[in-house]
Amino acid sequence: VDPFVFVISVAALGVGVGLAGALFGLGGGIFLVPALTLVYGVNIRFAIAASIVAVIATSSGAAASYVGGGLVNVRVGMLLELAAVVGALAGAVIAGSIPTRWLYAIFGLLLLYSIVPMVVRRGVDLKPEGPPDPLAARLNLSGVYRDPAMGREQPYVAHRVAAGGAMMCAAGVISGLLGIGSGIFNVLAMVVTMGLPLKVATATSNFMIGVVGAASALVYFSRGEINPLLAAPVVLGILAGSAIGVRLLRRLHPETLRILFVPVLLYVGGAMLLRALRWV
Amino acid sequence: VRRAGIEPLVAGILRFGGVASAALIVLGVLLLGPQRATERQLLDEMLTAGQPSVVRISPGSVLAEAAVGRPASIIMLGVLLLILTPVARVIAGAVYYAARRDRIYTLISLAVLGLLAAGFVLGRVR
Repeated sequence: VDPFVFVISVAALGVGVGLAGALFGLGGGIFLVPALTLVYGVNIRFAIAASIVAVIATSSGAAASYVGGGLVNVRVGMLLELAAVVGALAGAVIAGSIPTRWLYAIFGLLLLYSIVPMVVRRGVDLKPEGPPDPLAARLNLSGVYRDPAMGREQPYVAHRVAAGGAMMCAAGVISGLLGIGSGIFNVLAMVVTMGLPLKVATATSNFMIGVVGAASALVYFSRGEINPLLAAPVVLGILAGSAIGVRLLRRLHPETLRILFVPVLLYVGGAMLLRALRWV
Repeated sequence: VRRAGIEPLVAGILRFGGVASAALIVLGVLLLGPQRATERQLLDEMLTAGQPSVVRISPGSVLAEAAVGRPASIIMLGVLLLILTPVARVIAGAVYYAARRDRIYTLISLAVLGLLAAGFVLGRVR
């Protein structure tokens, strides 16, 4: 393949990954690694390193707008990223002593199962339910976001903070062990467990994933596993794509976004199951 | 009604990091453009199966080489800036919350920083 063609087409791929990442609160490694290794034949080590850089590019690109626009709950993000970083570190420490095959199977099934609450619990964004968690009050985990798609301000309060933190910690362990999947689990923990609005969850997940990925990105950087000819189009494509995704998310109705999550969960859950079955 | 809080600070840092690293990467790509042999070499390196030849890169050498205009190092400097952007955001958060005497979130920010450092050291050792 010609270097020029490579750079242009990887940048185009990056635009798609950045757009999806901004919309769904994920870093896009789950799309990028298979595309780079299967389509271009990129060495897996360079592909993984590029995908961690991709996570940070998505995060910085999307979160800058989301934080400025008031969609990110910074306190929820900071609290949960502590849980995620603890988990990721634990995952990295126990990596190699745990059969990843079963983890892929369990978490693949969990993702597929989570399609049920995403489809069934419609309208949950519109009415915050139940009394707030005392821990949420203590940690000041409430907020208001303006949704242009609905034309009004949406107040919200976090529920089940401890359970959400535990789930985030588990998500961190998985990302530390398997190297993928923390973004989508962030969103699920915030939406399904903590009852946060979907747009707030997506935006806050985007805000968090850059920090969670920073330590391993620096490790790859210092190991020389980041290839500039690969990283450049990935980063530039993703920054452009995430800028588009941010604008798209503002206009999407939360219910539409919720339905769009279903194919993403199917893909990520399916990809993890395929890996458990050693088909990929 | 939105209170002025940490948001403008955090958004500003993330935006600056993104724009500055994109500018460096674009500059590096433009300078790399005419160097067909270097491009070929970089491409071949990442398309090699098995263990790639590992060249240790230190942030210091990237800075020095970028300063003398080596295109690949200018790109790498942009990538390094991008990677450090979220870390800078956590540091700014720690300072912001400390100034506000918000003990819980100051501790959370510092704990995240400490764990990131631990993760980096652990990753280097392996």
